[in-house]
Amino acid sequence: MNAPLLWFIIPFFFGAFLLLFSESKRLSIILASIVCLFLIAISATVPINSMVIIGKNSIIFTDSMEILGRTLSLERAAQPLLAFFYSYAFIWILFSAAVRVHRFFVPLVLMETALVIGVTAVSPFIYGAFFVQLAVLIALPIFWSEKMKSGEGIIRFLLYQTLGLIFLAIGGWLASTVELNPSDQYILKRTMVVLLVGFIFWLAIFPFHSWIAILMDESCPYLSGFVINILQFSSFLILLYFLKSYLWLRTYDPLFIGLRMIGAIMLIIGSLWAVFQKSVQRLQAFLIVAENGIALFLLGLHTTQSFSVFISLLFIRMIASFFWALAVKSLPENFDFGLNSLQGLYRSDPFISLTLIVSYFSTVGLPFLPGFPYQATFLQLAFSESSSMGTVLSIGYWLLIAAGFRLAVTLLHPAEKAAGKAETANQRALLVIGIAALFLITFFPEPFNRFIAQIQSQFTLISGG
Amino acid sequence: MRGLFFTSIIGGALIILGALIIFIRLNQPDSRISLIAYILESVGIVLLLVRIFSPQILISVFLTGTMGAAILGTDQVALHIPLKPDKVNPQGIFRLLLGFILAVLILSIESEIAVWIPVPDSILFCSLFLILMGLTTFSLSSRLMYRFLGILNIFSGFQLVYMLLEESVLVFGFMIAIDLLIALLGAYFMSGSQNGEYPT
Repeated sequence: MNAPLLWFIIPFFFGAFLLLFSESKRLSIILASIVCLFLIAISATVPINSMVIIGKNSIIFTDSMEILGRTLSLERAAQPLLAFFYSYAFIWILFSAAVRVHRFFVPLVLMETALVIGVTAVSPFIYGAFFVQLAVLIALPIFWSEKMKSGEGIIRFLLYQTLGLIFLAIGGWLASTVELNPSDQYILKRTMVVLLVGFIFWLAIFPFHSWIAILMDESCPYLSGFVINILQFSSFLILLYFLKSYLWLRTYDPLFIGLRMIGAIMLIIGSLWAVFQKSVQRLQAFLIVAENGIALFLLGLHTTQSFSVFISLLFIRMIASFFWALAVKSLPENFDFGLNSLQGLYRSDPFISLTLIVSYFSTVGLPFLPGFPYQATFLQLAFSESSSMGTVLSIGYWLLIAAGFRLAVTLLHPAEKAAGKAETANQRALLVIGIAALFLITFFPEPFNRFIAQIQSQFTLISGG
Repeated sequence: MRGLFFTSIIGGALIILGALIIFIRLNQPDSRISLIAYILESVGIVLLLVRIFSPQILISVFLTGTMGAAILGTDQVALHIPLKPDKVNPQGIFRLLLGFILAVLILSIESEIAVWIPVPDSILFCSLFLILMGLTTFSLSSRLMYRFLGILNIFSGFQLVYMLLEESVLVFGFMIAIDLLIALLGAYFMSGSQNGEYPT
């Protein structure tokens, strides 16, 4: 037995196998949940590269396997990440019981999660880009059958992901040639540009950021919430692997200056657009753009503290986005995501409204919510970089807060426009769990911080810790 | 050797011809000729690579292109409707001209790119031409068929170069899978579309 087989190959094919049972939503949820719980339990209890004794038999649990001359490898240090991924998949799968989702959603979650594990396992890591593309391609049929508008965002998404793959794959190859002769500035600069273009497509960096808003606005919020979150996370993971793998990249100062500049531009553009959005899903999309900006800026600072904040915000965003997606999905079936139609929603659907507000501000970071200490540190780091940079970034940050207040004012408006009661008793219970979970992270941050420290230990080369 | 040199020229010509046909026939309701042009491109790719790769790999490339066209054209089968050559029209002439301008543009930058991507000039030119024509086809088209042909052209262009850079069976398998999945996705999207994507 080996780790990639257990956490990547088996769940992927089990997900494909579950497609056969997708007619029975309950059965597929139960089976997928059992697989996720089993994988979480193994990742929490059985160390990779150890001997497992069952009765009189023993199994050596190795860390790697070979496929067609390439290695898939999951080290012991990756186990917290594996546990997180399958826990994340588990909550999406379990909570999908309370909302109407496509019958292939549950198998898709399992397959996509397995592919993201593949991104972390494959060596050389740049092949992970192909796994991401496969993850996109298997998700798109469901996006298309669940689309609410023309499907333009879905096609753009496919194009940009394909272009991103092309640039990253070529950039990955170029990076390995730079490794042979890092003093060759000619190749080095071109490699940087190619890699940057690849990430521009994948991370919705300006000016190629429109796809994310169009896609989220025209597709099922629960589906787009999961797929976009997991893909954005994979893109950051590949970026981290680039930085971890190449010394010349980690020591190339213009890269970090560039990351800071791009981050600032993305925060300003994302937050500015967020203020003027008329749809909740587009608001969430531009929040993702702005948060990607914050993440890139923090990565560009290249210090232990900024890296810790970067990782923490990434995970908080993933958790908060889940509850956002659940709340939006709990709205009435034919809801058009328009902010105007949400006016006074608090009166009819208080739990949906509260979850929307809490999850938005958890990411943006209001006091008493999980993102707050990290966003405060981010602003402090921005001002320590330079006062002008700090001012620009805090303007962007305050615009994000303003967009959130606009949402809150709309939801809490005394004049009710929203169409009737939408939330069911089950949904209410789940939304309460969501709000409680976000507050728990704030008031009892120790387990979360321990987890972040474990993840960070994998990337000490980048963080400098 | 001389024969192999000619295969490269014929291969390159077929790729350029195929990409130009798809681009010139942009938004035509009957896309069967464009699908044949896509198959021509894969024949061109095979001829271009015949000096470098084993027959097994070349057959895989050819089959991927052919099957991609077949999958994408699942709903285009209309044996009772004869294929009619297109009449010359101003849009077609303009697109042909644009294609030539792009070819000249690629020729002017190719030598610069060849310094850092070490693949034969003919292959690099064809790859860049496919990518640029694919992007242009995608951007100017409103029909799903041509948008997917555009994406497939972009990916074929990438595949042409990347096969030479990374000689890994796993990567080759990935590229074939992605190519076919894009075609399948195109067929799936069109099957649910009411946009008059079928020959009449």
